Amino acid sequence: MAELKRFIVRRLVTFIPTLIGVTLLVFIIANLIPADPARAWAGGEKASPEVIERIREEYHLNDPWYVQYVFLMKKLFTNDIVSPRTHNKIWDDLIFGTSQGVAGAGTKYGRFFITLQLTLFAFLYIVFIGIPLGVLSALKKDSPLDSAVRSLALVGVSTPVFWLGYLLIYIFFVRFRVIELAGFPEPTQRITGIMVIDALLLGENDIAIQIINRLALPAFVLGFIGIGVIARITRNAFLETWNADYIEFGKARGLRKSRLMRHALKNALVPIVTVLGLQFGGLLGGAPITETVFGIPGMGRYMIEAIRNFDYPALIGGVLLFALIYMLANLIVDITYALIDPRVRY
Amino acid sequence: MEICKPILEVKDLYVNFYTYAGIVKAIDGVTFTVCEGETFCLVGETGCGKTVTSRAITKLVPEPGRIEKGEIIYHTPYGKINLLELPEDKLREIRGKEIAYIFQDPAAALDPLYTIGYQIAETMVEHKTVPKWKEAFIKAIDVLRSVLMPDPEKRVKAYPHELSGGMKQRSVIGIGLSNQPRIIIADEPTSYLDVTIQAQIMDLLRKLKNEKRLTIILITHNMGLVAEMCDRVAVMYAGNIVELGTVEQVFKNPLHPYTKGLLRAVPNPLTKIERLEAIPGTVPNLIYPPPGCRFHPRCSYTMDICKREKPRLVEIEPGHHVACWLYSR
Amino acid sequence: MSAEEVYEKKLLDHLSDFFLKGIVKIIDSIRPGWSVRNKSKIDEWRLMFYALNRSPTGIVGLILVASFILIGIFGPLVAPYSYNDLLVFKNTHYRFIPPGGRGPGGEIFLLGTDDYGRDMLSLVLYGARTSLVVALLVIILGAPIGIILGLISGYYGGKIDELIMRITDIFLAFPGLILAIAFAATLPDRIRGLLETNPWLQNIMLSLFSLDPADAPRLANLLSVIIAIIIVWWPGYTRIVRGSTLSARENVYVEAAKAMGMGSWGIMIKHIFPNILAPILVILTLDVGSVILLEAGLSYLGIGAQPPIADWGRIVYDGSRWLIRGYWWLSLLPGIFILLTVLGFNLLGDALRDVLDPKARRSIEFKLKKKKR
Ligand SMILES: Nc1ncnc2c1ncn2[C@@H]1O[C@H](COP(=O)(O)OP(=O)(O)OP(=O)(O)O)[C@@H](O)[C@H]1O
Ligand code: SF4
Ligand SMILES: [Mg+2]
Repeated sequence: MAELKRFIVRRLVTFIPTLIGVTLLVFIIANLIPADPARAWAGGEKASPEVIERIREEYHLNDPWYVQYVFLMKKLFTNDIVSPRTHNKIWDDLIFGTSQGVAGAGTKYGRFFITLQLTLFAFLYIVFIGIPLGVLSALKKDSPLDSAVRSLALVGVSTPVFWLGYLLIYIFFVRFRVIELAGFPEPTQRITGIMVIDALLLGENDIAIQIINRLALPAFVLGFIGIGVIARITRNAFLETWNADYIEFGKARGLRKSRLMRHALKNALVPIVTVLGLQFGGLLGGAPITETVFGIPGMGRYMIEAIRNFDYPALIGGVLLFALIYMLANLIVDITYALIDPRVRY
Repeated sequence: MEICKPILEVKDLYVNFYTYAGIVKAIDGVTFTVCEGETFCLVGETGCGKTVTSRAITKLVPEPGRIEKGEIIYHTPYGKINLLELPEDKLREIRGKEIAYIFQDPAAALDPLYTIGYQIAETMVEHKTVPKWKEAFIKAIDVLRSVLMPDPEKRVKAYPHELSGGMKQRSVIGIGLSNQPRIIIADEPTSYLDVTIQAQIMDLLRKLKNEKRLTIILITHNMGLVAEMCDRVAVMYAGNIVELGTVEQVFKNPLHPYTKGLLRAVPNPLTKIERLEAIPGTVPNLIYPPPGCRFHPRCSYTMDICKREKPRLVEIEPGHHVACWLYSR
Repeated sequence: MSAEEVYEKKLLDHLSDFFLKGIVKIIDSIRPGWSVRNKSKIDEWRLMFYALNRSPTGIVGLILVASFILIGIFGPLVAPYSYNDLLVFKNTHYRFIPPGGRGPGGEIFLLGTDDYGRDMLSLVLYGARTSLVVALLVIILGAPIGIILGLISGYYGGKIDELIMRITDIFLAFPGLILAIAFAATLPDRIRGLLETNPWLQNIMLSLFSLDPADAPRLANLLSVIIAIIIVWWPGYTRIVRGSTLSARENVYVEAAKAMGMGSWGIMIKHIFPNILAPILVILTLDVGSVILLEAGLSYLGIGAQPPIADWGRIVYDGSRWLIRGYWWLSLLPGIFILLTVLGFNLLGDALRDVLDPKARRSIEFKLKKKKR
């Protein structure tokens, strides 16, 4: 366990330069790319000269770039940036929640939590459909099921998420009205930040059910690519471990099949976890599209609304937040990796 | 010579591998008997079928292989059973408990994600020799001590990658012995180790055999080891046993042209048999094996009958068998 | 004996032989005697084609990809209408004609019309051009960056490798689409300026995308998308090239070339690059698919092509408003073209991976051998 601690510390140390790099890249997007960042930050073409001038002062846009960088980061990390569109501080919109939501209604949950919940649902689909499907197709190698999984993986990565979304909306909403597309119920109190769990904790079961009903289809659409990919990876990883010498030796030791499976699965988990981490990035990236298709007010949608309304501060906040979550997810993947495989702890 | 009380009889075993390139006739009618308490050796060039034969004993032939024919008679204290007809779950109870294996490559045989203590304990718990995991972990230390693992209390918590090659092999042997099997099948247990460790491991096996009255089936490339360790030896060539007898019989009076070549080729019995310079030609392709005696393309005594008919294993003197037309008609 | 004589050939094999011969002839005319010197290499290529011709997924992929390219090139030329022919202003009955339906003038609209009475078939044909050009520009402009940086990183190692890898780390810390959105949304400002000061660039782009000059102001968004995709795409590509370079560097002939005093760049170009070509080709094929998908996604979000420019992702978005009303063909039909195109590249890439693997090829070689007469 001491090694594990050392591994985590070492991993955290490499985390820092990447984090600095990420903030630099965000800075480049924010300040160097629009022809006139002050105008962009003030809200684009419609902004009045006074506002632009104020922004120029506030963000030190007449100073050298490193001063600008430091001030931007300071403002970002102290939640001191206001969206010219929603007039909320961007981290209130995104994380902390506001009394004054975009549509006027207040929300206890920042946009981030809505996306998080959607992503977690999609992740569940990937794990609980993809992995068993992969194991089955490995055990039934070269069967019709196996080729079906192979095709699913190929079709999955080729399917435009938005198209799949509309196809399912057409079937389940337009043709047979079995899903809801409007409204987004909230539990009365924010506890963990994940709405379904909060609702269940509060005993508001009907709200929990509404949330699940609302998210089941979008999460499936978001996870669809990943299901095939994970099934494929699981199949190949499992086949490889299933033919490994230690499984053969396990048979020779007289282990039961369920135990052999356990050994094979745990070993196969090493590549699977890596790909799951990558898939998590894919899910986050897919959020803007899925949220647009299904009208879910998550942070992807928030970014797109920001772009359409020339709300650059909100866009920058969203980009940074997405990167931070993804980095955190990768950190978790690496630590899980070390937990599974004692060899990487060194 | 002691009288032989059979513990395992392999009768007329055939194994084929169904590969894309064709059917590999890997084991082609192998018959031998192992006596209780002896060390029985299988020797032969690489690819002659030693591993496949040994695994077939408990029906462990890997895909795409199939046991086509044969009987494996195992003598339990309560009577004889044919292992090939036993249902899978009964067979599982015998593997690792009554007939245990030591694999060729210890580094690959151990699951890298579990401590060796866990893997030893698991083997015992699965066979219910020890009822509880907790106890099994404590017993695992004793097992490691019995295979002379240095510092067993600490090593029991070690992962395979934290051990040296010799220590890994000791762990594998420990796993094999943990349920006190009656037969242990050691497949080149030292081929991945350096010479001094090889000697230590062999001493260990010999000691265990004497203490526990274990029956050992030892598979090796190494003629020196055969001379040192074995009571009886079977020489294999291309899926057949070509000669079988006590070590003395086979070493002092080799009958089969292949055995003669083998002993000539290895002036230093400690070298591995990789290629036999003394015998011209190469190991035959087992998809299209030579008809008749599979050795005939390389044999300097080949007669007409050798190319047509396969010689059977016949007893020339008590306990000394050979499969060659020079000795039978 | 050359591969030509030894193997039993199918129609497709003759076709690929024809194709290969053409290429060899062209190279020969530039460098006389090339084909004689590289006979074994050409035979290897020939075999690769034969293997591909025997992979069912490969053939399906090839057909899909070839149709996409043909539609991309000739689509706008054969389209019955232009992408900005708003027939609704002629006659409101041109709106929402279902696939296969007839307009007021009796003309058939194979894929129907949209809310402005635009011919969906023409939109799809023009949209193919947009996708094709975006994909091509991303590959042509982006691949050299990825390849050169990957080669440098893998070949030299040490500090420079460390630096390049840390930079890729930063880019890969963002979910791909998010970074692309950020750049595609912020770049147009500058690109617009660039286009205004360089009319020649604007004209090239207009003709490449087959656009009406009136749509010139909308080019900035398209170009931003291309640049954004390159920015997101190069780091992963660099890493793959680096990996292949690392293993190619260990080869004997690289050692030999070094011993003979060949320069680093010479070795990279002459010895390493040809050896990593196979994996690069596979990844590129697969990546064309993901580039098309990414571009469609950005346009769907309203960040890429602006209306009335025909773009598959954008068409789906514009049509999606009418899905609830039951006009499914406005959004679902164009989406199928994206799916089939991307699927084509993925199938082809998958098959190429098998074909370029020497082990798999050998087994095909084995099967192909003519039975002795
Ligand atoms: N999985 C398999 N697929 C196809 N053929 C196999 C397979 N395993 C074994 N064989 C064939 O069976 C024959 C015997 O192999 P085996 O492993 O028993 O040889 P061996 O005597 O143990 O050799 P070594 O000394 O190298 O361990 C080989 O010729 C090989 O071609
Ligand atoms: S049977 Fe014939 S070929 Fe075979 S070993 Fe004896 S003499 Fe040689
Ligand atoms: Mg072997």
